[in-house]
Amino acid sequence: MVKVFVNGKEIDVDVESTLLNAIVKAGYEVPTLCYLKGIFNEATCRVCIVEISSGRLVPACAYPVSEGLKVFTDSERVLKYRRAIIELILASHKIKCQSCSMKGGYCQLLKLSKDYGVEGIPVCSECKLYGSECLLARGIPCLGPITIAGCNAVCTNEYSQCIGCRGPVSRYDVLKEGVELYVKYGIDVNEVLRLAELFWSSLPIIDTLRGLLRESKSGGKA
Amino acid sequence: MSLSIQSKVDRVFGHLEVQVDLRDKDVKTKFVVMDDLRFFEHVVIGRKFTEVPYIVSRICGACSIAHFLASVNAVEDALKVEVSEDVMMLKEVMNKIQIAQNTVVHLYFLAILDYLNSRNLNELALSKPELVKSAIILNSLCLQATKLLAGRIVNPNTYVVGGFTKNLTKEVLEKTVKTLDKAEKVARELIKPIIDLDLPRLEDPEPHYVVLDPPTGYLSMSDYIVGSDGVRFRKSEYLNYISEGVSEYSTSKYCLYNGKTFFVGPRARLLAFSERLSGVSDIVGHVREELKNPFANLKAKAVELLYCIANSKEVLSSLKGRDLNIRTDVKVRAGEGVGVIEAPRGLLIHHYRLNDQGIITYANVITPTVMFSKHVEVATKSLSKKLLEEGVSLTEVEAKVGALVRAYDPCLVCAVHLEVRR
Repeated sequence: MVKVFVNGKEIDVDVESTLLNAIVKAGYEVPTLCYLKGIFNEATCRVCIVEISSGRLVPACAYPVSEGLKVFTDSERVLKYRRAIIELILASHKIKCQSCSMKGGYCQLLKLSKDYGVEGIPVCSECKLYGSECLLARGIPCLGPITIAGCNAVCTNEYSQCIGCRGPVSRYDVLKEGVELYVKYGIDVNEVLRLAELFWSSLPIIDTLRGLLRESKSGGKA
Repeated sequence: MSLSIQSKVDRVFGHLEVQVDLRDKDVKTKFVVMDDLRFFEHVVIGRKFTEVPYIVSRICGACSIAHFLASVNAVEDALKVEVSEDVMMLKEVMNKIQIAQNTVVHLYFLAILDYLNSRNLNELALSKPELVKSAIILNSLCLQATKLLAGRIVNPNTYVVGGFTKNLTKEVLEKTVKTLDKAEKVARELIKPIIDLDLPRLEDPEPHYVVLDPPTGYLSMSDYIVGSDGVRFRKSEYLNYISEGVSEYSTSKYCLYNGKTFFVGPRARLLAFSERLSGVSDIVGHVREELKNPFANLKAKAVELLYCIANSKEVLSSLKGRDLNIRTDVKVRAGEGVGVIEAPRGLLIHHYRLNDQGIITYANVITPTVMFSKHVEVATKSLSKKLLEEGVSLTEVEAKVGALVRAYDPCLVCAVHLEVRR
């Protein structure tokens, strides 16, 4: 038996066990994707990373316990990196997954990306899959860069502007990049905001977007 | 006698109760819409003209294209945009295909059940599997054609104010014609049971109607409206002829034409322009005598179903190998515009006022169901009076009243978006 501290809680576990066993025994949760008890513990997805006393981030499903080890499952650093890991997995994933009908919580990856606010794939990525011409380049205010993908870019493929009916992406960096695109193509940011208010006026993110657009406007003037 | 019927009419788009009060000798009827108000006319105020068609097409999922096109027409009228004839033609085709699809749903999934002793579609599928199967096939073919032309099956996205967003490719055109060709074959067989229906007899108590009056063709776009009394007026003058009112018992408004109850829709269109229906004149001959009967709306719909599909196919085939002029430039300016269209259920009017930035400052929408809601009351009254004199049981009266209301195909979700004006 060895003694480990999970988020400060003292717990005795078997020498052979992994960090994941200790965490579960202590009553905490760590998300896993590739881990399958007794069958697969190669730690390939890295979603289960936790922080140990030395400051290293290690995969809980494969890391062995040792005497007096301190584990933190939801420190700010862990959450930040876990989010990045989910983003990386999604980046090489089929975009169509975002509109999957299993989204009701059956798909672990989609559930995770929802929990961690990683819905960062904008309509633009789908639009490009079909090789459509960019509407921003034509001077049409299109919400594609800041709207969640999953509609197969049905409007922009018909060269009709995206009106954001699926909701905004929740990632600040994607929003920011989108706003930069509008500035780059010389689209009137007021027009963008007006269009965004059509479906999103009751969402808290509209304030973030408003701030970003205002910033870009003043930056443009300076 | 203390008798009254409060019939919740099922198999219509929305929630409707028809109250028939038989306590008096003079029967009283009420067309009570129970859906909540939706205030679409208020929602569009303050929005830009480019967004309005997107918003109003969401009034109704069943006929989103009609609302979209009426709204586009109104905005184009306000901005004095003259779209090309090709665009007009394609708009008409879009509208016709949508009318056909709507008709299939109404006739074979909702209305026909009254005449074939089935309570629901499942029962009908057991007793007449072929009918239900081909109705489903026809519906899906119409939806496919809609998707090819309008981009989506609801809320079209291939059109913006001024014209289509991209040119119709040869493949799309060929595919649509092929789909419509298949649909026409199915429709020709499918409308037979409707044309042969033995409908209950009822003389129309208020035979006034209002239809769009195109110079040529059937179901074409036009700037003029004509009434059954022969009065023809520009669409912008509609407020002088068609008045709206609010009843205290219903969330929908009602309309009067020159103070008279009137109806709109397939029966009105057929009464006015039956001689213009090319290609289906043999079927029109069968139906024409019955058109005075409100129940005959079903037969008028069946005729239109076949005509719409056949005509759309013809028009699209004629476009093959031609360069289409699909876009007109739009200049923002202040103005006022009215858009009218023959929607599946009848005349649909959208009316907007724009300021010099292209922002909507006033909106008015009159939907077909609002126009004929008073006529349903009058017809129901006349029907229940007649049935009572014949000594028919109350359950039978209720069933017949339901069938009559369903023949009009009211769409209550459309009817209740109207803002009450004081």
